[in-house]
This record gives sequence, structure tokens and C-alpha cells, in this order.
Amino acid sequence: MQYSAVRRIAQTGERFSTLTSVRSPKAQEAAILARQATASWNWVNSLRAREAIAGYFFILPTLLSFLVFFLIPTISGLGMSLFDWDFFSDPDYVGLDNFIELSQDKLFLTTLKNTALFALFATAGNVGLGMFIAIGINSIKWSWLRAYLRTAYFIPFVISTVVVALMFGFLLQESTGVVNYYLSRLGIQRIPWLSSSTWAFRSIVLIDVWKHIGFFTLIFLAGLQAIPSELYEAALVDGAGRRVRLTRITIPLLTPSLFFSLIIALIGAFQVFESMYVLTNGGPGDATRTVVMYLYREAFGSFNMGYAASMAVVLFFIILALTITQVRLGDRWVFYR
Amino acid sequence: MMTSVVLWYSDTELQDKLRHRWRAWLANAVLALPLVLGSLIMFLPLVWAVSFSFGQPHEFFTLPPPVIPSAFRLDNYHGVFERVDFLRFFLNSVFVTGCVTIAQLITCSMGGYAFARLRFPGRRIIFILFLASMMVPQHVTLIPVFIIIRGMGLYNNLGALIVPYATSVFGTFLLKQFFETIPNELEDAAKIDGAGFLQIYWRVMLPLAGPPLATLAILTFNSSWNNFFWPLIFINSAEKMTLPLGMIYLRGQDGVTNSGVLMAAIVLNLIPVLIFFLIFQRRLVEGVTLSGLKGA
Repeated sequence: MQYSAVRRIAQTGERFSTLTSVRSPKAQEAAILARQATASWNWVNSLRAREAIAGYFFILPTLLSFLVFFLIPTISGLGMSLFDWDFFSDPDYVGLDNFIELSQDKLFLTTLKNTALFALFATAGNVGLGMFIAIGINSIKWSWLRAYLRTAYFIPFVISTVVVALMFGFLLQESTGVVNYYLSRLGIQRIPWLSSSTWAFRSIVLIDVWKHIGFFTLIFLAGLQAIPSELYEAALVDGAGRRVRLTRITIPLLTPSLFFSLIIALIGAFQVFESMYVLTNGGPGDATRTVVMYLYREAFGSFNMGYAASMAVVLFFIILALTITQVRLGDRWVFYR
Repeated sequence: MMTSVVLWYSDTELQDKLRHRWRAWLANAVLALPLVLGSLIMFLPLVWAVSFSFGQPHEFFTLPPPVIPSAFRLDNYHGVFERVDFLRFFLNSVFVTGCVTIAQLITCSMGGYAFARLRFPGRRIIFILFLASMMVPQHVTLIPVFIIIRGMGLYNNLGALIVPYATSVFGTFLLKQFFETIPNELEDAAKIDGAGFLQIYWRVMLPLAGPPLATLAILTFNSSWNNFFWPLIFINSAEKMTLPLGMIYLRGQDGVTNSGVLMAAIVLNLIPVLIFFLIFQRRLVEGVTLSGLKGA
């Protein structure tokens, strides 16, 4: 509407000014107005529109990928959980039957329990130990040692989980493993690292901590460096000792890093798959089988696509609920400067 | 000599200073000791892997297992190349990781530029949706994506490992945050000179974005190189495997499970990763802390 009106005024004004000689002041005025109108319209037309077009052009790859590999799959994944589908014949709508079946599926409940316990211990180990290692590294005065320690703890993070798992599978063998040999030299009995169900679970947690602790240490180190040194100087002037400085300054000011680490660690731990898949294949029995392992087997082993999709949905809501709870609780204990 | 010692001791101020220094040194050492011991636990498995990769089969069943093998024989390494086409796995990994990294650098910087610098209807809503997608575990999308990839004819094709990873929300977010810090004057100057948006992106924005692009490249490289779940689902022939999946394939060969051959393959895996780590350590550390701080 506006566009054509402005255009028309502009055109008539221009024509008017060119037709009549430039002598008449009214015509001159009209011509100037018209030119201004054209100019401002052209500006709006060119810049705004071109900017918008450019904007869509620049986000096009990301947007396309988002639609094809996230939005459409997420919606159809949620929908698929309501169907019984073996991939080859037509899917049957079954409502919430998959979820009812899940709630009675002993194996699913076992994998859920394993996953939750793994998440609990791995998160505690990674985040808790990571925080204390970071505090320790940060309070060392020799910078070369700080640099060495940071590097040493971080190295396993760049190695792929598959390689890590294969390596530990070799080192942790019960009778011929090198770890057990040196433990026996220390007078500790051989540990069935991967062959007893309790120890297999513990080993998986330990390996996970070995691999990821450096990542969390780095995050805490960054948090520590962000604490202004004036606070410590002021505390020293007030005569605060090491412990007071730790509990009253360091730890409160590290809570944002702690909060972030807890969220990241839990989200990751609930999706754990690789180390179990490689190292124990869920065994002995089902002692180290996780939800994603069961999901993988149902989807690509038994082709129970609908059932597997419903597991993913349960996993999603668990992660979502945990994250929301953490964010809610975070308001109470996270200290933002 | 004697006199100097006496003199030295008589200076109480210096003595106090020295004592103080000694105590600080001791405190430092006491603090460092458990951390240094812990760091040895980080290295020890890697050292063992290397030493066993040179070992002979019979050595694995002798106790004590030799930490330094009796001879640096390369039999295990030959064993790897006899059993599988390890070079092919490596080249596949290089190809996939290279494509994914380059693609992400382009798409994420484009997206980041648009979200930070251009106004277009729906910008905020689209960006919020992007961010929300980071919360959803990939297993929800797994089966539909599997069907889509098959529909594209990419099953058992390296493309299946590249196309879904050609862009990332995290990278777009990272670059957006960076582009927002660039002063408007630079862009305005380019506009006055008659530069279009493509030119501003290419000539003004990208040359400034070196550090965040390097961070993104390294993080992407690392996660793509180590990706296992995706190849496990989409690749089923040995000549299309990348290194992590190839390792599992190798383990399935005769007499490889828990042997020196497997250790040799592990060492072959570690070498490029550790070289990569040593070269890019600083950027990698920066990248991790940056992504950590952004979230915090």
C-alpha cells in the first residue's frame, strides 16, 4: 500500500517538475519533496529488504540443517514413540502402549538404574575431583608445575573413548593385566576389574573419570582465574587463614563453574554408551548396560523402532527434568557477583 | 668460610626470610605431591600401551610383565597392517574430519554473522530455537535421522558422517558472540565504500575472526575425529570405516583381542592425536575454557 502510494507521489512530482519549467517555486518545492520521498523509499527498499534477504541467505545452511537433522527428526521421533514399527512393514498406532511396556520392562528399569548410578558417581568424581585438582593446581606457586599439571590432566580428553576403552580393557585383565600385577606387588589381591558385575561398573566409572577429569579441571581453573585477587588481599589484611579463604572466597566464587559443570556432566553421563559398548558390552549380565545401549540394540538389532524411540523420549524427559531442577535449585546456592 | 657462615647466621632478618622461604617451598611441595602422583596415573596407561605395543606375545603371560619390552620389535605393527587396511581408516578419518571442520567454519561464521549483525524478521525466535536444540539428546533424533540419511542414499557412505555435522549450533553461537564485539564503525566504513553484505562478511568480518575460528576448528576436529556412534550406525563395510570404528573391526579379527597388535593400533591412534594436542594445546585449552565460561 504505502509503497505504491509513495512511488506514485514521487513519480508524479518528478514528472511535474520536469514538465513545468523550474521557474515556479511551488513546482520546485514539490520536486524536492518528491526526490526526498523517492530517496527515502529507495533506502528503505534497498537496505532493509536487502539486509533481510542477506540475513536469510547467511543462516540458510544452518537453518536447513536444523530443520532436516533436528526439528523434523525430533518431532517425528516424539511421534514414533506412539507407534509399533519394525522398520519394514507399516507402523501401527499404539498410543502410550510403548511407555506402559517400558514401565514394566525389567531390563529397561535395570538400564535406567545403571545409567542413573553411573551419572551419579561419574559426575561426583569428575566434578568433585576436578574442582579440588583445579584448586590445588591454582594454589601452586611454580608456574612451570602448574602448566605441566594442567597438560597432564587434560591429555586423556583428546583421546577417543574407543581407544581409551580398548587400552584399559588390556591393562585391566584379571590374571595377566599389568594393573593387577603391580597391585599384587603392593599386597592387594587381584581385582576382577571387568569380570565381576560390581567391579565392572566401578571400572567404567573410573575410566570415565580418567578421561574427563581434565576437562572439568580446566573449567574450574578458568573460574578460579576470574576471581579478583583483591578479595584475597583484603582477606589477608583481615587475617583470614587458608581455610577461611577457601571456604569464604574460593568456593563461593566457584559456584557458577560448579553449576555449569554439574549440568554438562549430568547431560553427558545420561547418554553414556561408548565405553560400555566397547569394554563390557553391557555385561557381566546386564551390570553395565545403559539406556542408550538398550536403545541401540532395540533399534538396530531387533528393529523395534517405536519401542526404541519411546526410550529416547523417556531419556529426554529425564534429562530435561534434571536440568530444570538444577536451574531452579541453582538460584539458591549459586553465587553470582 | 667459617666467618661467613657465622655472619650469615647472625643476620636474623635474613634468617627469618630464608626460613619463611623454605616453609613456603615446603608448603608448595606438599601441595604438589599428590597432584604430581595423580598426573602419573594419567600418563601410566599410555606408557604401558606403548611398551606393550613393542612386546612379544609370550611376554604378556610372563609375570612381571616387562615395562620395557625385551626388544623393540615391530611385529605388532606389521600385524596391524596385515589384518586391516589401517591407512584407509586413517585417510577416511582425515577426509571426514577435514570436510566437517571446513564446512563448520563456513556455515557457523555465516550464521554467526547474520545473527550478530543483520536484522531480519524472526531472527530472535530462530536463534532461541537453535539454542534450545542443544538441550535435546541426539538419541531422540536418531531413528528419524537414520531414515533421512538412508533416503538421501548416504547409508554406508562417508557423506553420512559429514552432512549432518556440516554445521553446529554451538559454533554458530560462538561466532555470534564474537561478531557482536566488533565495533560498528568498521562495518559502516565498509558500507560507505559501497561494500555489500557478502563483502562485509568476507572482507571485514572473517579476517577479524581468526581466534574464534581457530577455537571452533580445533574443537570440531577433536569431536569429529573421535566420533564413534555415528559411524557405528551408518557404516558397515571396512573400506568406509573411520579410525574409532576401525579399531573395533580390528579387535574382531583373529587373535587380536587384548594382544600386542591391538596395543600397536592404539599407539598408531595416539600418535596423531598427541601431535595435534601438542601443537594446538593452547587453543584447545582456550576453547574449552571459553565454552565453559560462556555457559557459566
